[in-house]
Amino acid sequence: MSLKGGKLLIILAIAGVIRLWGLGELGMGFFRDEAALGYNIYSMALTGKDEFAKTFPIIFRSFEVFFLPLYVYLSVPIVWVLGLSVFSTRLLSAIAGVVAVGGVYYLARTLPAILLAISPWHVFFSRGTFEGNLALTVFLLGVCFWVKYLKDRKLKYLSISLLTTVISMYGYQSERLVVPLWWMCNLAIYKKDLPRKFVEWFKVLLFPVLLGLPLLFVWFSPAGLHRASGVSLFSVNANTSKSVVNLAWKIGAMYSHYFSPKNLFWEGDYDKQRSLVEMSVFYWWWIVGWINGIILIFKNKVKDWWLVSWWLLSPIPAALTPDTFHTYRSLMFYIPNTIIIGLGFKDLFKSKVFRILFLSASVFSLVQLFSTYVYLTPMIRAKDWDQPFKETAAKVSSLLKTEKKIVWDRRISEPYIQYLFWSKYDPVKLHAVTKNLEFDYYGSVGEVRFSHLDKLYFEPINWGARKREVGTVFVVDAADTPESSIVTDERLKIIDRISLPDGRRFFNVVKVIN
Amino acid sequence: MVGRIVFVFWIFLSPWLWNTLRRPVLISSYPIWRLGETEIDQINYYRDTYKGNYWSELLGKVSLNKVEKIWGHWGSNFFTYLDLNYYFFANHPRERIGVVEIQRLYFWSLPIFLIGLWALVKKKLFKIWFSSFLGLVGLISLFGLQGVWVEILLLPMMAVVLTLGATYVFKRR
Repeated sequence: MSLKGGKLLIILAIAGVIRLWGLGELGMGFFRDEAALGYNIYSMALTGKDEFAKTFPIIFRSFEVFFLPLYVYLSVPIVWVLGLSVFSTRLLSAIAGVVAVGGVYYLARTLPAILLAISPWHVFFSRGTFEGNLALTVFLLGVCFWVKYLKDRKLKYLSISLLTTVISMYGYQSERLVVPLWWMCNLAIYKKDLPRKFVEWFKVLLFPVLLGLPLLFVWFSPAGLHRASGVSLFSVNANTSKSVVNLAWKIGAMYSHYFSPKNLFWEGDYDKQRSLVEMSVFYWWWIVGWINGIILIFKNKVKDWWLVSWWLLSPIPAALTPDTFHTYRSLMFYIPNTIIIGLGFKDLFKSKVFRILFLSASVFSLVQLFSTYVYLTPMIRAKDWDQPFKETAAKVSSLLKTEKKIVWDRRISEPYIQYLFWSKYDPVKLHAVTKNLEFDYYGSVGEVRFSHLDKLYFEPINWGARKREVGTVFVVDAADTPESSIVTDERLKIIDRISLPDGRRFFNVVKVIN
Repeated sequence: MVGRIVFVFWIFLSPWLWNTLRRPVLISSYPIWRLGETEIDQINYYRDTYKGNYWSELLGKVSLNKVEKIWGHWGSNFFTYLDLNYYFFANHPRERIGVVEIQRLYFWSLPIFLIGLWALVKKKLFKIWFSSFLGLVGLISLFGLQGVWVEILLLPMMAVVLTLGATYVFKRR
């Protein structure tokens, strides 16, 4: 085995251990989007239909999330073999994370690959069910084949590159915008390296174009546009000023803040469900490599325009939304940043002192990552990650055998999908309910919910009005039902208390006994 | 001569100087080495998550302590001063709670600033400029972001880069 092959194997082994060890047990809870993906994969694996009994949909609407299909379809064999579980649902994202490390090794060699392997952001998104992580890896593979084409000039690599990047557009929303822009830039920059003959172009473009045709439907259907129109700066909800100067100011601010060292190396994502406690996107000391990497670009020592165009274009989808530093929407941005950091550090690696400092800091940072991922974040962010729903679903499943009616408060997260996932509800039985819902699957973007499954109801609970329903069990927000008010009321009985890991009450399971 | 005129323009006609003169001197009276009660409570609350065995509790003590919090105060200030949005977009979209953010430099001058940085790299002056900038930022960060009069020391450094960028654009035209 060559030295290069040995290095790659070691790096992949490190990446694999970090991403796969304790997958499904360690870390945060299991968020509703993950449960939605997991259950729809399960339903597809068993019946070929999603939760709404739609056969082989091109978009999975779930609770109006409108997931793109790549993650679901690629995970079907995994869930079919391993069964439905947190591990099987997250496995594809973890594998994509390991493959991405290999892709970066091909593009930029050892140091950037090591950095990606231990990057907080990549570890975080690889260990959860994030379809964007899979889409990013697929796009990265497309870039690898593009670089291979630029080296070897073999048409098959250009064709595979186009095909792969088109496939990535079925993975996540950001790719739908960035991939076409990236290709436009690269075809313009590298026009001298492109085929000249029509026949060659026909061979190269045939399959990617055919594969991309359904995307037109995705782009222009109400379901396909729902995410973009709902969250963009130009939507009604965003309340963006219409004046040109204000709009330019706003877009400028939103774009440039993705390049802010404060966001990349210190504060990270403000959203508690998209970040680790006390940890940013990158380790704070990586700013040294980042700045040096950018200097190298300015000095024209980095001439890989496929990398620079990727770096500059990838924040655009996120920048066109009003949300502050949304790491998931800008996920494509962090691989070029990681490569730039790696190239910056590589330049400084000539100094032995620096190498020692780098190694020490890396070990310390890995310990910090372990600390926050295993201890801090699961405890502090348990509520944001729907952690108590597993226990609640188990309790509800056991109560359904004896109680005549159970009502679960649907004001908190999406309890129906968590129940379906944790109870591994039979999709055939579910379809008997959902196929009767009247709505246009791709045409309507309003809320579509079924009201109940057998004796289990999912409703917003107005506790004051509902606590007279004798015989009904309510799974209700603990904040609405303080213990003192129930204990003193003879008509009520607390059957169970579902708490967060730190002891704070989350749900009360209360029965109205008379 | 043109360079000097442009430099004076950035100093006296940028919003920074005038917005600073209009503001109160202090935002808060907390020095960076002082921890609030909520921060101390948070350290204890976070440390509870490590309870279990000797090694996990040791990890908690090493990861979460007062020194780490003070370092966090300084780091938060330091990285804020490295944020381009702090200067060009009134810290949007990460405005601080309880603080009236000000526009320091014109947002349309950001491309000129970036050209100025590029010109510094080409002239091999970037390391000198950046080291000085970092040193000053590191020092100002000790005062915390309540020392708004102190941060005006950064204006000449930014004006130098803007001047370089503007004269480069002017000469190219």
